[in-house]
Amino acid sequence: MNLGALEEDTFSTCCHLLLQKSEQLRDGWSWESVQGSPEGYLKKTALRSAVITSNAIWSQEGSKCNSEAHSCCQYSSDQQVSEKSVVVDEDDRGCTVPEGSSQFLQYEYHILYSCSYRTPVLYFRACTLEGRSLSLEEVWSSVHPDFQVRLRTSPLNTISQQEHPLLGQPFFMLHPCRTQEFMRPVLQVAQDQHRSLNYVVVWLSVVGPLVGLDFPQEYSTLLQ
Amino acid sequence: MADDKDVLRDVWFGRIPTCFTLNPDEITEREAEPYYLLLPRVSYLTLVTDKVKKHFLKVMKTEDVEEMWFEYEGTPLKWHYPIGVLFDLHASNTVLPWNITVQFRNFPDRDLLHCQSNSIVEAHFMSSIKEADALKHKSQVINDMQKKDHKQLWMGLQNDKFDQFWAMNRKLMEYSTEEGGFRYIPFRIYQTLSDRPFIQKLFRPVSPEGNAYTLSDLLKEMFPAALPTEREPKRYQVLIHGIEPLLETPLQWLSEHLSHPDNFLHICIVPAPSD
Amino acid sequence: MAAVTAAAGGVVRTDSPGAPERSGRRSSESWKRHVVRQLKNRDRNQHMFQDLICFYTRLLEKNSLAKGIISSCTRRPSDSSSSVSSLLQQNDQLKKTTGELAYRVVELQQQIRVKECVLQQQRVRLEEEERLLERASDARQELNMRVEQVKQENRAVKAKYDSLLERQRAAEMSLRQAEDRGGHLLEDMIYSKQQAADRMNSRNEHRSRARAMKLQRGQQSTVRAKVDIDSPSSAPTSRSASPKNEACGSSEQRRTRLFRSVSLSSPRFLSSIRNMFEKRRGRSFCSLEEDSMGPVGICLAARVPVRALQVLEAHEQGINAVRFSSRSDLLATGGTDRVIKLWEVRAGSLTHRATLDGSTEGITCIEFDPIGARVLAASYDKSALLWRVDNSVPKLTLTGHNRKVTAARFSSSSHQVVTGSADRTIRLWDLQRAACVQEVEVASYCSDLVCSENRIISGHYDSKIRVWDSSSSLTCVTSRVGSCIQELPAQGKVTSLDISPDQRQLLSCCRDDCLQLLDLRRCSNARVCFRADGFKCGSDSTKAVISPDSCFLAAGSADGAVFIWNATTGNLETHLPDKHSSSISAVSWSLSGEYLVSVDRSRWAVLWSDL
Repeated sequence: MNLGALEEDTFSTCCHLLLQKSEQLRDGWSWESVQGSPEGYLKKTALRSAVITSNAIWSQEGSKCNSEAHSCCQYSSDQQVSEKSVVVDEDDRGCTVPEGSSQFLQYEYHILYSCSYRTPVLYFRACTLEGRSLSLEEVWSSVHPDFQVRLRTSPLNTISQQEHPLLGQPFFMLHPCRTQEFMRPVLQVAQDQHRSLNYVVVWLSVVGPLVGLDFPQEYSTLLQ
Repeated sequence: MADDKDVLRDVWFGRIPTCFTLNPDEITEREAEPYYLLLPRVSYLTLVTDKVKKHFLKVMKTEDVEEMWFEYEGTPLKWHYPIGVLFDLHASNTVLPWNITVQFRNFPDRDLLHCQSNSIVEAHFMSSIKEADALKHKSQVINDMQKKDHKQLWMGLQNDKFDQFWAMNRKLMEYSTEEGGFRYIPFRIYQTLSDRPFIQKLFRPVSPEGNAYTLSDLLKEMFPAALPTEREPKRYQVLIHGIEPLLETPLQWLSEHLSHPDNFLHICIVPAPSD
Repeated sequence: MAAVTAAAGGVVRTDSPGAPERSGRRSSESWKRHVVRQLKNRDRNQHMFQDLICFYTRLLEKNSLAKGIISSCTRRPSDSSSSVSSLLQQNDQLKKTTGELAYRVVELQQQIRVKECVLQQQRVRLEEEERLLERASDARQELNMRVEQVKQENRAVKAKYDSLLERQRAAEMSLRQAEDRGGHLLEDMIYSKQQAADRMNSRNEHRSRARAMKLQRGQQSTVRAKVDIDSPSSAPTSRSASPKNEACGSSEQRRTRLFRSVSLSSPRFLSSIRNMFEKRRGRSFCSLEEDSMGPVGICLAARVPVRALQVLEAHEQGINAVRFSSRSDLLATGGTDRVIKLWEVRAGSLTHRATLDGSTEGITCIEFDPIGARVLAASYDKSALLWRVDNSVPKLTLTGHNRKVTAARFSSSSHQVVTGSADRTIRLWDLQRAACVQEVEVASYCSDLVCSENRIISGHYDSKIRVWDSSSSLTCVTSRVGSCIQELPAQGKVTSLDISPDQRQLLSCCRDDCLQLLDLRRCSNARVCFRADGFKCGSDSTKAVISPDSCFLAAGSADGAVFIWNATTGNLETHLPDKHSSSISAVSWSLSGEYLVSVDRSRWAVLWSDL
């Protein structure tokens, strides 16, 4: 079997293990199933305080997602998960919608399985407490500046708004096209050491911090 | 093979006569005339409606204008679906031209993706192609292509250049003769009856025994209700590009010739007209 | 069914042969045909709308345009309706502007009319100018054509000129050749002439030697005869000869130095002594007869002629010289036609007697010897010639001068002649030796000369008359003649000289139409000039004469009239016009005083007399 890929069965197993841990940690992960279908997704909602601005970051267009996304992801794997979103320097942006100081945003994270890429995919959406959905620019502004610099070259290939394949609603998505690549070395190491490894947990620990998803270290004990 | 080329051309140059009318709730300075346009089936709404926008903005004040979106009979039209899919899905059995309502306010961001620039469309389009190639060739073909090749695909679509597009798309349609087809067929089956927008699963073009799967085989697996039974009259129409191919049509051929430029075979299942 | 389609798909992809292939292909074609057909169907429905939408869009554009205009139009009334006054004001303003505009329109129209007038004028002018231009260009073309023609003519003329030049060159060449030939011929001729002269000289010498021999022999025989006579035993022949010798003895003794003519001239024929004498004199050089006959021609009184006795065309060309013989019975004329004609003068008329030829050029001067037996002539052919009157072949030709000989005169010693020439020399010739014995160079062209005793007088173009001493004896003149003893002035170029028979007076004729008479004896320069109205010296060789009695002077004028002056009074004695039609070149007065002959440049000779 292709190393770095995730079969759909394994995905649900991993999800169940994760859910079990989540129950212990009470950090709000749940399984949502689609009616009349075995398919479903992991879901978590969270409140975050962040400073958001809105500007057209994709004006500098590029499709150079591949290496950038890859390296960024690898880099991010070494990063400690940061609690707070970092304030973005407004002056650099020529912002159009300065929203003032930090505000609370409601985030909703979905973890789905992509049969096309055979990987998990992180979908998320955010809205203000008033219920206004965040635009892509606002989402980008909440991304850690270190990541921004690395991903800026091809922003639309890293985070883009997509239709939720099960709900049919607009969600932001971390593009899964390079997921297998950055997962492969980790899985290789695990395989060499004959250790079992929860694919979803490892993956989430990498991509989660990118979009402000709080993923506690306790999940590391979940390794099987 | 001349037929195949004709099919590709007919698919590419399929046009839907459309009448755009401004939502009567919009605040206008004067009455807005409807705008008629032939919409390319394979393109995207936001990519080909610059003229429409321009036309209606004439009668509106700039402060009343937000992001433009389209609605057909109360249903917001998802611009990220190809135009032909939207038409087949929602208006296949209505009288032409297709009446679309244009709105500039109250963008339904719970239903529709934002699209304020053609680069969004491009990103979406390229994303679809990548996904399709991940299914067909494990992303090998698309990753071997250079950036300019990607650009050629996009420019071919944006500027309605059939030859330019297919010069590059041809590579994406290749497969080895031993396998007898793609690894998996990139398809989406749309129906209006459930919340789920489409069905997309793994499906191989050739059976383990080496037989080519047909459209019928796919439907049997994915949407058995769409298959006609001998006991009752036909309940559903299976539409691809506004036509109903015979069910025995091989799936690989369909994927090669009736796919949209995003390399997905979009299949719409709609209720058969009552008469 | 699924199996069939599956098989069909397999067949299409793998091309495996077999029965299922056919059915598969059929079915494959059927589903594909179905797809194609359906696509066409679909498109047919949609293409209906294509034109419609096209038209609609265009209509919409126009409509929106129209709407834009309408809206901009309709907005104003709605604004102004609120305030009628402003509308009225606007109306007024509009009216005002309209009026102004109308006024301006009128103004502009007037301007336009003015401009149009100007334009019209300019157009007319332009047309005129164009016409002029056309005419000018026509004229220019014509001129160009003429220029071309003239050029062509020029070319033709040039060609002609060139050919003429060529011909001229050729002609010059031939001329040069002809001249060369002429020069050669001339040289040949001179050479042959010299040879002839040499021959003649040698012949003469031969003859004279023969004569001398004969004489010697005769003398010897005479001596012998004398011996015979002296001896008693003499032969009868000597007897017959003795009286003859006796008859001549005295004279012979007197003139021992003289050559005697042959004994043929016996004094025994006395009856015909005159005739015989002439002949003998002609043949011999004896001067006895001269001396004895000298007084015969002396004239006691010359008669002034009054009318022409005879007018005759004497020569074929102009006549340059005329001279009566001393006995007045012969007249010699010489002219440009190279001959000398002898005329017998008898009873007032001239009869042609003989023609003397031998000169190769025209005759310039003629003189008879004192006894009238010989004629001496000077010639243009640089020689002087001597004839006997009864022989037309010249007896002597005296050559040596380099240019024409202008004068030839017997000297006082009759065996010598003196010649003057245009080569500025005067030569003395010995007739016995037929050679030049002395040559004197003079300062100027010698036009004429006369000889008197011991003197030679010459006239020159430098208006001088020179007197030379020739008084020496015949054998030793050589050194003496060379000295010029006297130089007499004249009024002009001297054309002729004449000396009176008594040798006391010298007549000179000058180019200044004046005759001058000098008395040679008085040794003074006293002279008398003779002029006359109408008298004009016709040429550089016009000859004037003194009458035989020295009382009158005669000369011919350029107008053809003969003028005669009285030498003592200096007055014009008479003037005889109308007989000559051209310039008279010479006159001669017979020694008898009876006749005067004048000759002219146009071949005519007139005999004048008082009868």
